[in-house]
Amino acid sequence: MTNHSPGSASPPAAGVNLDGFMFFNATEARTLDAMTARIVPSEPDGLGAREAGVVTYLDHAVAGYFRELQSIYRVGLQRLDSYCLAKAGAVFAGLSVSRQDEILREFDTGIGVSAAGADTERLEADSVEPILTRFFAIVREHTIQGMFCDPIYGGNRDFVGWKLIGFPGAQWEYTEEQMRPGFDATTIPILSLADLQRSRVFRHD
Amino acid sequence: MTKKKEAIVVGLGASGGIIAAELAKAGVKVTALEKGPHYPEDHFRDKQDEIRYYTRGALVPHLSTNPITWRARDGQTARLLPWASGPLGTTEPLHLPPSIGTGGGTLHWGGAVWRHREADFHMRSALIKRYGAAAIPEGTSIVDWPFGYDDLEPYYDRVEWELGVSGQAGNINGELVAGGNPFEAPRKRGYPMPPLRSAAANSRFVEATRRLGLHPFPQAAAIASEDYKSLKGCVYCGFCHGYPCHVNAKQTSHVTSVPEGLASGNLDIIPFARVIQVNRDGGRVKGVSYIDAVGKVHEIEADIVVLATYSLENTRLLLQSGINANGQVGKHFMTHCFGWSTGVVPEFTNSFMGPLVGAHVVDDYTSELIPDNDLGVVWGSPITSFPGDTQPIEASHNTPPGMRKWGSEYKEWFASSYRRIFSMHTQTSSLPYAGGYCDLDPNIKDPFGQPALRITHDWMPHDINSMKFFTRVKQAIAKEMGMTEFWEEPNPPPYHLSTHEVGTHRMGLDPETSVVDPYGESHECEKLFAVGGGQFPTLPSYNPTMTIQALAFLTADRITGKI
Repeated sequence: MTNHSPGSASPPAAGVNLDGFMFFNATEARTLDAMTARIVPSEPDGLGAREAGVVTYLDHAVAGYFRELQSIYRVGLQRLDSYCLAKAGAVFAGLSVSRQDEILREFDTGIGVSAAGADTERLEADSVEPILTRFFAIVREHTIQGMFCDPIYGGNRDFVGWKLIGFPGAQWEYTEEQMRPGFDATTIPILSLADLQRSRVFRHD
Repeated sequence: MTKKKEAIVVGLGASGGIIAAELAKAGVKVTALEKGPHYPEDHFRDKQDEIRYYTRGALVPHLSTNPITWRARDGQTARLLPWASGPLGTTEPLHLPPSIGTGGGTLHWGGAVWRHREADFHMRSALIKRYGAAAIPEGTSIVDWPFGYDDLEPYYDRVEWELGVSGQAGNINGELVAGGNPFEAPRKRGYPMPPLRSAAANSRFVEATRRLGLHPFPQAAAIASEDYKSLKGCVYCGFCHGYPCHVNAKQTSHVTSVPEGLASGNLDIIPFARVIQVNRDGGRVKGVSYIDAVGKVHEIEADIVVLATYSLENTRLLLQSGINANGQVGKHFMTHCFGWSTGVVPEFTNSFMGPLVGAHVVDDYTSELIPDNDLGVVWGSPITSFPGDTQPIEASHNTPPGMRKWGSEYKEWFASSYRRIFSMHTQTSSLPYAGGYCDLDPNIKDPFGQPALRITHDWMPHDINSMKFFTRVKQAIAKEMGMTEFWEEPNPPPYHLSTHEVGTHRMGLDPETSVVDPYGESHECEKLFAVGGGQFPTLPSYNPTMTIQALAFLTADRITGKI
């Protein structure tokens, strides 16, 4: 381990988030790694966005399905760093975690997804940095997706997200016993969609 | 120009699938034009994918290609549904426009099925009888349906037995049956399959509502609880509402109806066919124009055309085709307000197991059963338990108000609560107001150059008061259930579509005040049928699809000359 002082941003663990990027450059990936680590922190159990490989999920999603969000990611990442430089004297990834949290709170509207579209214009109009308000809402949402998606999407690596919440994943079925009150679902081996596809046994065909 | 067809059915969803199959089985040569794919019956074996089906809405046409716009009231500029096309790039919380492809909305529906109450067929008369004529809220066009429960009962029976429904009867020929809904309208016989199993938290709901003097019963479900005809028994995977079924337990027209139509040899399906216009020859339908998978426009002729493209797209096509002489198309828009209420129970109940409709309901306050109240609510709603079928990303969106949705506190809360989440919901009916309607958007067009449908709708005091009334009841139930946290969605909610949009091509006997007759045939254009929820004169608080299916059987009987 490095000897960085408590309260400073921890570097990504060795071997994590080094899958290679299709869209983000190294600086962008580093900023997103720091942001997503504040959205779902790794402490105290090592089950956070960093371990789940959320930045890989973001990169795959933005390079492909969310192509129309490429511009907001690119602009948002640059604007966040220039905002942090002006306000705190360092780029986002270079700030302490408590300072990072303070910065993100400035742009957190707290709105839910269903209300997001309806309220976006009003909330952004109230924001000193409308682009960062929108950018944070998007990264927050995509971080959750990267935590709890099936691992085939690049996130939820080693089922980190599903282990955190006790979700057994892509199950074909649940039994009557498993559906009784108090049943501990962590006793069910977690499955990925890839497992279902690999060993497809159709009980009903 | 191709050879003239006998019948064209546009859309193979809840109603189109039934009508296409029934016509084909009766010997009518049917050409079905489906906007989406023709799915093989085993297409969805690996559907346990929340990103694909929930977050990214893989089954639904996106607003970029199928735009719908909304504004609260006249004079405002409408924009793409803001709650469904926000900057976050998600399609949730609603699957609208509904799924396309063979099966349509029944690919992804939750499968809650209801026979309407007897009073739901004559809401106007019932209100006047109970409260006097002054009780009809000003500016509404509440009317009675052109037929009653007894007329539709045989068709409800056909849906239950020909397509397959699981449930527990509560009233057979006037005799109450233990365990069922004591308030239901009399039925001739029970259900062909027993009720589904429920996720664990449902038992708390059942016990609590009983202690409160209410009468819980199992929700009737369009999901097979055991093998039945072409359906297989549910395996309770929990990826259900919003998802296709991997074992074909869900009653979906691409499993129940389309294969029967194809087997008759009389059904020809053209997938990826986007109908852009209904063509007419004076007062009679002539055919339709559509754009095929590679963008080529075709015009085909037929003796009969059935539009079964959901209330909203039916309305858009009628307006776009200039079939609206009496100005009634698009009027009387109604939808449901869900009243989502969520909380946390003490023990693990594994909220990700089982189908949405493996659940109990109480009907004590539904429709005309609502007691006199200080809020002026005149038409009530069932209260439905929602113990399972909640995947992680969906659950992450519904957290207690006031809690930051990121950081350590959020992580801790979600890690400890996800397996103990329980919801309830109501479904209060909106009333048909003059200010709630659909027309063609003057500004926004789809990529094919056609105008989007524009919805003008705001929640009215009766909607807001209905939500308030039922919040009180649900809070009492939550307390009795021993829930440790409990919260409500905002009132009024941010959305204005619920997937239960109805009324916009109203059926009636009078050609001046309605669009179609009780069989769904246009008053204005002979042999043109516009079917589905758009026909509903009023919106009961029950889910509409089983009545849509019953009406589809009625239309099919009419076209084939059986009635």
